[in-house]
Amino acid sequence: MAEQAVDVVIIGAGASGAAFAWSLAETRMRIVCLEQGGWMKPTDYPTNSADWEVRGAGEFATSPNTRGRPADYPINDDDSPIKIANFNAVGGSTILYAAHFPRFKPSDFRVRTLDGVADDWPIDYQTLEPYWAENDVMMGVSGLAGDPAYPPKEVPLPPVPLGKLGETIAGGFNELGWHWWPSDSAIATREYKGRAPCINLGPCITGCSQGAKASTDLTYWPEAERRGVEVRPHCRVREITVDANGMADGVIYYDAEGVEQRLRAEIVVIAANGVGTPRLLLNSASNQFPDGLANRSGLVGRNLMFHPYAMVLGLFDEPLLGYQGPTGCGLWSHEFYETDPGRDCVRGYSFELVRGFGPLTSALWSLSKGELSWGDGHHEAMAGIVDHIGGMMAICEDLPEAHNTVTLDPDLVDGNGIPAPRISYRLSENSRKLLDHGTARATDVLKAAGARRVVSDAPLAMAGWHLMGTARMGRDPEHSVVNEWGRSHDVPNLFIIDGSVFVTSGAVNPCNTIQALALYVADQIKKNIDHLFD
Amino acid sequence: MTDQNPGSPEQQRALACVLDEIIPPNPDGRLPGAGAIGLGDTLAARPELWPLIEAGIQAIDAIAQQRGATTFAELPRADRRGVLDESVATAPVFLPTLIAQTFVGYYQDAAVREALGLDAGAPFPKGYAVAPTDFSILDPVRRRGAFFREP
Repeated sequence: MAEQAVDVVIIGAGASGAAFAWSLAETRMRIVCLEQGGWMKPTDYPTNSADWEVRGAGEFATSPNTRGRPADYPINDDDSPIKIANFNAVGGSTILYAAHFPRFKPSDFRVRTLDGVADDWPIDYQTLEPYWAENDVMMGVSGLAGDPAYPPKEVPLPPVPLGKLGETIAGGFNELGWHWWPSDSAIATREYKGRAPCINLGPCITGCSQGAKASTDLTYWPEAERRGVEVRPHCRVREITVDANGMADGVIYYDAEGVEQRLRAEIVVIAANGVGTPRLLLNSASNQFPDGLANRSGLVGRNLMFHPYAMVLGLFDEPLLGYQGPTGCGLWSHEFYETDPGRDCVRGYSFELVRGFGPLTSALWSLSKGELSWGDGHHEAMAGIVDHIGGMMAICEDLPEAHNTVTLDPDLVDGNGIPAPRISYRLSENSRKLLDHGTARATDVLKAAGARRVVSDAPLAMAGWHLMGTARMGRDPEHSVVNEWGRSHDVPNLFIIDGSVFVTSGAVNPCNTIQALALYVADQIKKNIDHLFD
Repeated sequence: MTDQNPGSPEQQRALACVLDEIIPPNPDGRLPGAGAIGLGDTLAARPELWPLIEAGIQAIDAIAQQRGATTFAELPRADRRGVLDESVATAPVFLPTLIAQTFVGYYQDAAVREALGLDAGAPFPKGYAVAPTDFSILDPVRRRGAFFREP
C-alpha cells in the first residue's frame, strides 16, 4: 500500500468541499481533496442530444440507484417514502441541482426559542451573513435585492426572467395578496467569471451544457487548484484512521484502479453530505471508536432530515412556454414560512416555481396521474397538456427525529466492497400537515393564476435532494457530533462541513447555507490555527 | 422479418396495430399513429423487450381467435381496444410496458415533436430567448413591507 502525507485531506469535492478548499488554500498548507467521481464534461450532458429527456431519467437520474455509474455507491432507501438524490463527481450534487439558491432565514437558527421545537443552532444568521455574501460572489448568484422576506442583502447578478409561466403564477400570488419574489439562483444571467450566460435551455437538473449554472467544478475548483489544492478524482475513501491518541491521522482509499492507498494528514475534513458523511464515520469504527468515529454521542447517522416536497402542478388553457428557462428557478414565496398559530402544526414551508416539462415527461407524468389516456382521444388530451403545465413545489421544514437514520446496510456494498448506507425514515405528522397545507395553498395560487385543473404529489418520492442533520453541531458533546465551527467533539482534528451538521432544516434549499458554513469553518480554522486542537 | 426486427410479417403487423391503438393517428392527420413511425422495429429489435412482445402478441391473437378473427390484426378497429384490455389477465406486463415504451419512443420522435410545435433536436446550443421581466409586477409585494421573523 502506497503512503503519502499532506496537511489537510478533504473527502468530497462537492458544494462544501470546494468552498472549503478554496478558502483554506490561502494558508499554503498542502491540501488534497479525494473525490470518488470524476471531472464532468459539459458536452456529455443530456441537453446536447435530442434524447435529452430519456438520458436525464437514466444515466443522469438523480437517484444513484437508477444511475448506477461507477462513481456511485448504492443506497438502500427502501424504508423511506423519500428516495435519496445525489451525484458523485467533482462538483458533487451541484452538477444536477436546480441552483435555486436561497439563504436560511434568521428564525431558522432559533426554532427552540421561537417555537419550542427541535434545538437552536449554536450560530446565528449574522454569523453566516458574510459567508453567504462571499459565496454569492464566488458562485455568481442572480436575483433581485429588496426581498421583504429577508434582511437586506445584495445580489451580484440580475434575476433570471420569469417567462410567461412565471409571470402567470406571479399573477396568482398577486391576486391573493401573498408574498413572492424572484429567486436567488446560482445561474449566471450575464457573462461572469468566465462562465457563459444562461440561454434558457430548460432542464438544469441534468447538468448545464452552457456552463451558466454554478456547479463547483466551474466556480470554486478552478480557483482552488490555481491556489495549489490538488483534487484526486476517482478516489473513494474507505475509512478514516486514528492514532494511539485518538486523533485522526489520515484515510485509506481506493484509487482509480481500485488499488488501496494510504494518505496521512494532520487535518481530516469530511464533505460527503448527510448520507455519505455518517456512512464514512460508521465505516471508520475502530477499537477506540467502536460505534463509529466521532460517535460518542450516538448521534452519527441520527436525525436525518429531508425537505418533504409537495409538487403541485396546474393545467392551463394557454401555452406557457414553460420549457424555456431554468427548471427550478424563477420565483419563490415565503408567505407560509413561519409558524402560524392558526395552523395545527409548527414551522412552515416555502414555494418554488416549477417550470414546464418536455413532451415525454409531460406525457408520462400525465399518464401516471390519470390526466392522459392511451387510445382514442389521446391527442386531444395531450394538446391540453404539453406546454400547458406549470406549478410549484412546497418545500417543507422537516424537524429532527432520532429515529430517522442513516446506518450501514448489513449486505449492500459499493464497487470497492465498502458497506453501503441504509436509510430509515418516517414522515412525521407535522410534515404531513405542512404538505397538506402547502398543497392546498399552492392550489389556491394556481387557480387564481388561471389553472383549469390542479394535480399534486406529496411527498414527492424522488425529492430526497436535501440531506441534513446526521452529524449535528452544538456546544454540548452529549447532544451533538461537532462543535459550533464543525470540529468533532471526540476527534479534535476532524471537521465536518456539509449538510450533516445542520441542527434544523429550514424550509429552503440548503446549498447556499452549506457552502456558507464551509467557508465559515475554514475561516475558524485559519483564525484558530495556533491552538486548533486544544 | 427485417434485419433488426426478429418478428414475422404477421407479428410486425400485429405490433404496428397495437402501437396504433395506443397512440392512434390524429384525425386531422397532423400527427401520425405510433405504428407508422418505425417504432415497431425499434422496440422489437431490443432483445430485452422482444420476448415480452412476442408473448403479448400470442396472447392477443388468442383472444382475437375467441372472438372469431384469425389474428389481432384481422379484428375490426373498434374491437381491438377491448382485446388489449382483456390481455392484461393473461399477459399482465405486455400492455403496460408497451404503453410506456410507446410514449417514450413517440414523444422523442422528431416529426412528432415538430408537429407539436416543439424543437426536435437538442436544446443546446440553441436555447431560447426569454424576454426580461418587468418587475413592476412586484409592486404589491413591495408595498407590503418587510415581514421576516426576527428571533
